[in-house]
Amino acid sequence: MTASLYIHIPFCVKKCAYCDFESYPGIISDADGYITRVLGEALDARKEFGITGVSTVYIGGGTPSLLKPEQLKRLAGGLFELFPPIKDAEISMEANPGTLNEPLLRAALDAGINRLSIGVQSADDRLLKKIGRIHSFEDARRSVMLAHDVGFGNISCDLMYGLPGQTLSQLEDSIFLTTQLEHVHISCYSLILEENTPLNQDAAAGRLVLPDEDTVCEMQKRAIRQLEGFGFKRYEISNYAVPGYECRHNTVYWTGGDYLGLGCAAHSFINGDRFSNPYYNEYMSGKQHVNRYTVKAAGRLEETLMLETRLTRGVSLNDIALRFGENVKNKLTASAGQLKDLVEIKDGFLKLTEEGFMLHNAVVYKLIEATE
Amino acid sequence: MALATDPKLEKIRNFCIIAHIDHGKSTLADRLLEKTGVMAHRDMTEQVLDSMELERERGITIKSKAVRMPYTSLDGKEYVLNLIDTPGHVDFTYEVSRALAACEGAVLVVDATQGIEAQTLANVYLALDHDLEILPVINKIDLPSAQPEVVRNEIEDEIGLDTDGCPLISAKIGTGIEDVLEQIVKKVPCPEGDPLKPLQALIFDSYYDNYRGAISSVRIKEGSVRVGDRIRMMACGKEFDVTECGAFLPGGYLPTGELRAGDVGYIAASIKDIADIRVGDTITGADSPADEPLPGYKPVQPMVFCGIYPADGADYETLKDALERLRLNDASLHFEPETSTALGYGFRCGFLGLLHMEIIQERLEREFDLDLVTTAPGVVYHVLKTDGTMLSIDNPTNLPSINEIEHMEEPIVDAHVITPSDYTGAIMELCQERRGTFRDMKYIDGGRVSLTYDIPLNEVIYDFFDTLKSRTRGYASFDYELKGYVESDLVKLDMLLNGETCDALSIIVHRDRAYARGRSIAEKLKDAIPRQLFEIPIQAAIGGRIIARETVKALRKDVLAKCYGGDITRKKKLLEKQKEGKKRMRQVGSVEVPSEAFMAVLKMDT
Repeated sequence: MTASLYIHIPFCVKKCAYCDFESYPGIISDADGYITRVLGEALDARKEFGITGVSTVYIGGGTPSLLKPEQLKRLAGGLFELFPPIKDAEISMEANPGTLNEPLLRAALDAGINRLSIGVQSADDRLLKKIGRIHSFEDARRSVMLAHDVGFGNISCDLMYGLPGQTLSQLEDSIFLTTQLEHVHISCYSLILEENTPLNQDAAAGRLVLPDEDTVCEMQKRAIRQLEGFGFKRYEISNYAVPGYECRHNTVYWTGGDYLGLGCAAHSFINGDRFSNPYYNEYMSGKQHVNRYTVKAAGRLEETLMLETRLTRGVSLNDIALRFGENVKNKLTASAGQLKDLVEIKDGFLKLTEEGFMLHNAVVYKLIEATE
Repeated sequence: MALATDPKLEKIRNFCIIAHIDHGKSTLADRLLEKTGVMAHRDMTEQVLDSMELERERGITIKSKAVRMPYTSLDGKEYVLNLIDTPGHVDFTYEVSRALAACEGAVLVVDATQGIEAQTLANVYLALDHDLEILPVINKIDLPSAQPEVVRNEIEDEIGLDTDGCPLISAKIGTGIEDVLEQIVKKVPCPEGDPLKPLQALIFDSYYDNYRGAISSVRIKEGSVRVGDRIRMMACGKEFDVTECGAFLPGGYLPTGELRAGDVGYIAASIKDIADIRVGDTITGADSPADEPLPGYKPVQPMVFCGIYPADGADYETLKDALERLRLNDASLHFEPETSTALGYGFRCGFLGLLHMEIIQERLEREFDLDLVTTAPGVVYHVLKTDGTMLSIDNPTNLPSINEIEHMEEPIVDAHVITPSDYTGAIMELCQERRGTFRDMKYIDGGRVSLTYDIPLNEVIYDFFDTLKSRTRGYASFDYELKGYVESDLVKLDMLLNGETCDALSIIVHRDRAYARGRSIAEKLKDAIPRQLFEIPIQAAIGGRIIARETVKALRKDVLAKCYGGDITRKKKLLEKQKEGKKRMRQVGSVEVPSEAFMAVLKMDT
């Protein structure tokens, strides 16, 4: 079988103020050992799951671009020996503009990586500093140019909105300046305050002020208009692409495809089973593939509604009828009628409107409720 | 001392301890048990007789209890002392009154730092009604702020009791306890009664024992009762065979096979339904019954009503079982099934008063692990209809339409407040706010004032006591008794959510108070109802007229921006949280109302 592959790299230079992902500064010296451990897990997984090829790969983190060129080569080389990428496979890597350099980019390209996701976040250096980023916008601009020059044609830039003190015009400037770089994909995320992050503590203590809800909603709306004006079409809640450049790897998550997650805290969904890996120390001591469970029929429907509705194309009602029964399709159709302005049915697809996406959680809950 | 027909009677003393709350009633009981050797010091927990967790925690006595103590007086004579512990709170006045009827004497405990309080007086009047010998005792003399002489004067002047030889004690550290025991023996009259006469046993309490069935706590006034006797409950007429009788030990029984005139003890007769044992009823022998029951029996009438619903509708059966279990030990708890459009299936429950209501709610939640939604407490209104008939209404939903109502009447209580005179103004203001009518004001020694007001009961049941305490920094004490019904300009206040009336939020209120209540409830609901996919108007209305409005704005943004690395657990957790939250939501029309919202409106912010 072919599947998708996610590899987690838990190293970074410094934690960003909003970050609650599995990532640690100061342990990059353990990278060789970590790579060995990941390759070991990959070997186990190949035996267990019978994966013969991979269609998409995503090396995320943390900061994968913190690896040395030879480390990246060893990791990618080892993985692709076990899981050969199929023809035209999409192979992405995340990169922090504060760490990118030409030797690493060349090594990445040599290793088969053909897509970069670069964390630009904002074009405003003061905002970047405020949220604990280690780079300026100029660093980001140069990184994108360099990647382009080295030979990457498929580049994505990440942006954030709803940042502390951010104004609508600051966001518009960031979007404008970012669209002027050489790339084909933009992710534009609303800041989420996660518990146990410095940003959350500062916000709770009143040390920083976040834009109010109405402003954040307005930011979302303007981002959509502005990005579409530059040819980036919204295809998921937070993702925009020049048509044809939608991220295939992430689409696997949203459409219920199989994926194997390697490395600490990585999540997998294979042959109907979900499981994950423990955090760094436990993972290094040999533990893997915990919290395993098989998704039952009701769970599959819930997951479909909760994930596939993230896409602007929506969820195919015929597909729903085939997988879960005509009855479920009818209930969803009726529910969509009640949720007018938030949900629409068009060309056999149930999809959320722009307003509906703003209330995605609540709307999905209503849809799930309607199927019960 | 009266002459007893039975020589044994001379050695019996039946007494109770009466006091305002926190004056040390239960602590004194502990010391008496210890001193008479019924309980060894090492076995003592505090407030031995208050065995219910809630009683200990709140420092109150909820159930009447009795215990037998042997005592050898200083002159070497051996006595049997029966202590009957009584609830101190106004809600349980009827039970107190029955317990007093079982005694010949009462030890009146007065706090040396606080002096006489409202419940001190209320209890003294009750004791005097029953012709009890009252022995004043001044407690807490170990405290630096104790003023035994001032308190002694108060007792003489306000109550008119002789305080010569009044024991000055500290129940806490154990001083003066022997003095109290000696006075009980010397001053409390021994019981009278003839063991050969037909049986008359006064029931002053009842409770349920898993092995023995429903048990009566009794005082034998005349005659005697043995195991195997057939007995009859005079009020309800039911008959049973006595399976066991005897005296009380702390937390247990001492079967004696017989109880005779003058005795205090228990009777078990394989009684399944506690409702057959009515506090105040008289037990007599079925074969040679007494001509008439002992005086004073009246069925207990609940004064305060509210709806109790399970927060999760699936818990209805558990709630039903729990109420039935509680009623086994509390014949004054009334309940019957009711349904509400908003809350589903639940029960209309009747209580003796607010404390009783709070206790039952708390016991349901604690002992049965139930999550409850309770509706606003109400009283029984009399509705005189245009067709000349009268309805008693304990649920606003059942109020007839306006054109069928000639007029309405509401219960009024006689409220007594005792307070340091500095707070007189604050209290008068509070009573006026609560539609009180001034009746009387008296100065007491020590710079205190006794105030009497007539106040509608429905004003008293909304945090009157809490407000009184907070406005007087806890110094004022309060007591009330039902006085009667008076005509009143009452209206039904409805709350509308998105245009639909929510029956569980309707209340009956005086017209003058309706605006303020309506506004306050609307504001509370606005805070308690979470934002939903659409805007929700909240309105308060009398009849069809809207008197207040608030709006819950529609939800604007509720989305997880990122679904990272295929980790859907966060999204799943959110979904589970929504499902869990939904269980606690009640559907009112198109609006989801959290269970807590029904409770939030019960709190007034005056």
